[in-house]
Amino acid sequence: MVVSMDFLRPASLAEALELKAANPDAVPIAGGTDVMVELNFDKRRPAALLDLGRVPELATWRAENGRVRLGATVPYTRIVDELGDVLPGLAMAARTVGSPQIRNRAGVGGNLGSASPAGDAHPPLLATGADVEVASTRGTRTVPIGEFFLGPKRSALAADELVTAVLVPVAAGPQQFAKVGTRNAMVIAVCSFGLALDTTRRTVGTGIGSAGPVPLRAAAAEDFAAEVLPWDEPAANTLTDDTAKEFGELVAAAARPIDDVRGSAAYRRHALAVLARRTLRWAWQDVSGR
Amino acid sequence: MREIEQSWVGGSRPRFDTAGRVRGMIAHVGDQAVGAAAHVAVHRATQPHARIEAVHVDEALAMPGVYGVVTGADLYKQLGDRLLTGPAFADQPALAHEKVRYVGEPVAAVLAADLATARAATDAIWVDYEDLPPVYDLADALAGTAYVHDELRPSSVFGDLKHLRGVRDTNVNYTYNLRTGDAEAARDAGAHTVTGEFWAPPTHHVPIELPCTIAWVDSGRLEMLTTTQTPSYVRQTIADLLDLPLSRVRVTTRPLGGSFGAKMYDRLEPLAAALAWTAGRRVRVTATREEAFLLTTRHGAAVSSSLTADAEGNLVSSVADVRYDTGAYADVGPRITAKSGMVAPGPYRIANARVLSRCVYTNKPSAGPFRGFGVPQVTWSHESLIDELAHELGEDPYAFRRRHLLREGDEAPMGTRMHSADFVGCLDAVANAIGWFDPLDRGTGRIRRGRGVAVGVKAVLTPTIANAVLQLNQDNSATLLISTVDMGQGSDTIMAQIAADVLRMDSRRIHVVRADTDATPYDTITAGSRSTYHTGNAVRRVAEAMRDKLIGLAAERFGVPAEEVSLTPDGPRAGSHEVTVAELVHGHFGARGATLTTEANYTSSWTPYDKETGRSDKVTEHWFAGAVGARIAVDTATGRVRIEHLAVAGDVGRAINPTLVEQQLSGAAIMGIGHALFDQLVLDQGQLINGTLLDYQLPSIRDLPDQLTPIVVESPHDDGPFGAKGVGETGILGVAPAIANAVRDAVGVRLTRLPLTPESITMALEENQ
Repeated sequence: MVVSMDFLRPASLAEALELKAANPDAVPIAGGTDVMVELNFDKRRPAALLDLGRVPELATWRAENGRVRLGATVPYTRIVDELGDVLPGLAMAARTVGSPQIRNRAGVGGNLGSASPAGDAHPPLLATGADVEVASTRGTRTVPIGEFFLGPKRSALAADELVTAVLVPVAAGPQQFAKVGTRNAMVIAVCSFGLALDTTRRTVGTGIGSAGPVPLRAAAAEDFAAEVLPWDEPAANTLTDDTAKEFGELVAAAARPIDDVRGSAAYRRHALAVLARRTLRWAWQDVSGR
Repeated sequence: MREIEQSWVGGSRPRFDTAGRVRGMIAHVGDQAVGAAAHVAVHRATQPHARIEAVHVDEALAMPGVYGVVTGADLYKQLGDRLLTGPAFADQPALAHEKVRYVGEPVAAVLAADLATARAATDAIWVDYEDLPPVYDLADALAGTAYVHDELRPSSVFGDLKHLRGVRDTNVNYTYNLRTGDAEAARDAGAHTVTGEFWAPPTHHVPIELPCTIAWVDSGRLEMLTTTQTPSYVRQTIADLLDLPLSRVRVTTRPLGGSFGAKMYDRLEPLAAALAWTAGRRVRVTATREEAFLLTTRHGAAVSSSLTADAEGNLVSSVADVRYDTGAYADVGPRITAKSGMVAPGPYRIANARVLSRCVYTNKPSAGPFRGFGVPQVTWSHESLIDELAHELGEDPYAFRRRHLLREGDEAPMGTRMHSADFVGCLDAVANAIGWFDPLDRGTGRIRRGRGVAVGVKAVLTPTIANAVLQLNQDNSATLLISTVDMGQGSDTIMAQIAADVLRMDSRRIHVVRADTDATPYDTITAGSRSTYHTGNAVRRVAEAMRDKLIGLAAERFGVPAEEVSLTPDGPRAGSHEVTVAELVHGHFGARGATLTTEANYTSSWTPYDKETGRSDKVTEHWFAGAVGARIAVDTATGRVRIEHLAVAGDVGRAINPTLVEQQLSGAAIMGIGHALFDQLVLDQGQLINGTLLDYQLPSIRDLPDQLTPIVVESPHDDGPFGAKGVGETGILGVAPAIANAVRDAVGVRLTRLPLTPESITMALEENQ
């Protein structure tokens, strides 16, 4: 059956929220990275699409209170070009998203809205302790990123809500992102890892992608690293092999991967340990270089 | 060099269609305005192996815009057994009849006013199946408890398959045996034997352009415009299918946007022809990208093999058991099984060789021709074995190969001699290019470097037939009629160069007419790297006939014997006599715009291989020789391979257009990188689970080597046009083993299953510890 699909085109955030409240089944679309795949493969036939491409409030970012308020549809290309200094981890992850064409269209809001465990933006958002700003005609609220993901492709968004922004703390130390793919570009992660060091508060943040039903933090690894990193003598050689190794193992232990066409659970754990160990070394080198 | 000479043989003139292809200004078949037509979409099987009890089409028929729904049973009523087609076996129905044999097989076709309606209506069709025991893989198939086909049905195309008619209770549709000397005894007596269980997975071609066929009936003739490499074959197939004389079938083409074997033999054409003919209306059949994955694949192949050396390091025995998984329909699998099985020992002097090569049915999408025609799968085996044998003997893998490679005049294990196949030159060239003889920084930490080489050998498709017709226009331009299909390889450009060289004219003034069976002459197929040699020879001959004609006319005009006339870029000359071609032709006809016509044929010959021994003194018209060298770095922590330098050499006899040859070598090498590192179709219980471009991985620009060096090796062939041979497949043969041999060199693990994923390398490293 050829079915018609409404294409709703709000011109402001207020209008977008009203349309979403009136059409809770409408699927928001910005870059369409995930949505168009599902439509093209006929995995879903929503009654309506809610095009966020003309909502100006979603397409800007600004610094406020030590954080960056990053609009949901700011494309990854702009994150790379404009936010590399303040959100280095997210900018690194942004560079690995799809192709240049996709990065010109896709933004963090879509990643969050899809809530795929493989979303490239998720590990740096987890590692930095970002908040997700969501809105509806009922009002605006923020959800800590760690509470946002509820299950594979399920999030804390209510049916009438839209992701409007993420609030990401400005980097207070080195950040890293690393990803393993089946090839070197345009690839869905086999697994990925984000790391954020806060040299002032002496804390470590982590984010694991594509290795569990939801993007995960490795809390034990964070606590361990915060405790044992020699914050008082930040030289490259003060990070011992044992520390890096144990950190990697704790990250791997926090993952809950499955076997699929891109890789086995065993390899995902192995690769995560490598990525965690390696990014910790890179980040610690940056600390010592500061 | 004068500018005009750049347009002749040996000149790297740009291909004539580059700008159009890059800017999308060349109209492909799918771009053609189709007018009033029925758009066709296909309902596909959900079961790997099942009897069709009923096909329910009423709901689909009731949908607005649906013109009709056609099932295999409907077509069978009209066409009978002619519904079953295929190049080797007449085993594949355009729509499943009685049984389905793979998930995704076309079961019913919807004809509708537009494509969206047709596709929507396919969802309103449902089928009652009675499941049959599925044959998921080679092991199931060879266990022989369930059979994909009740009996074998050889087609009339290949006479040598006749003895297989009616054979029952087997999934093996063809067996090739090579027996030279006593390989088992030599192996058992030999001092050093290496063995391996090798696997090369099924892959897909993924040409940029999707297949499309438009078919219609005009004045009682079936005409079609289609994306095919094989217009002459398709014409014959459609004539047979519809029981029409060849004169009432017309197959035309447009330039293809890549193919690599995907658009050969029976793809969308039999269905389009059957629907247009039985419905009496114009139909347009196309495939989505996801459907294209189901149309044809490269054979997954398992090879159990050994290579043995005596105490002095001489190769004394090669034994290989090769199983090609051809899926639900044989396609050209039996030919692949023989042509590739016979080179399973590799391009080496080996006294004793035994090959058992089998083509095996399974309940999977059908496998057919793919750049390399089955040879990369056996090259994977023999180039891994000889490398490992060199390591075991403590010899340098390059030098060990070089010692044993076949030289000019040597007889290969299947009995045919080598000519214009400079394996040594190719191997030397790639070894030099990647710095084989220089010290290597192997690394001590997690990054380890290594180097590997591999050599490949492949026979050209033989025997085949090529024809050419040349019309010289009065203004000294020309129109060349051939049925070679330019799918990006540049054939139209180099054929013009060959004709222009003979006629001393500017090749840019020669137009090559696209294959149209109403106008262009018979040509076996555009495949198997055969066109430069075969069609090139026909073009050389047709141009020589034209040159003789011009010289004859000039001799008459000058009043001198023909031997005294020579043809120059400025026209015929004899002493002080001179005339331009334009004046000469105008003088002959007394009219502007008149044409002179010549025609020519080139047909190659072979000696069929012996049924018992698989041997032949001329199994092929000529050989392709290639070599690949790789310098790589392995991240021992993640298992990721980075290719620092890939060099690929091919002996092309003589490069008609060196730049186009380099492009073929490089393109094939890049495709080979995918096959080496990540490219594979993954099937789970008969269901293709990565048949989308989201999941199916091809090399991206970031997967290219840091340095890629194509190397043209030229040892002219006595009978090639200007000494030339083709090059379309040479570059892909040795890529995967060269990279795997470099991994072996870098980290000491021997991998026998492709692709070499980071995961497989990591696991092998762990096991090695």
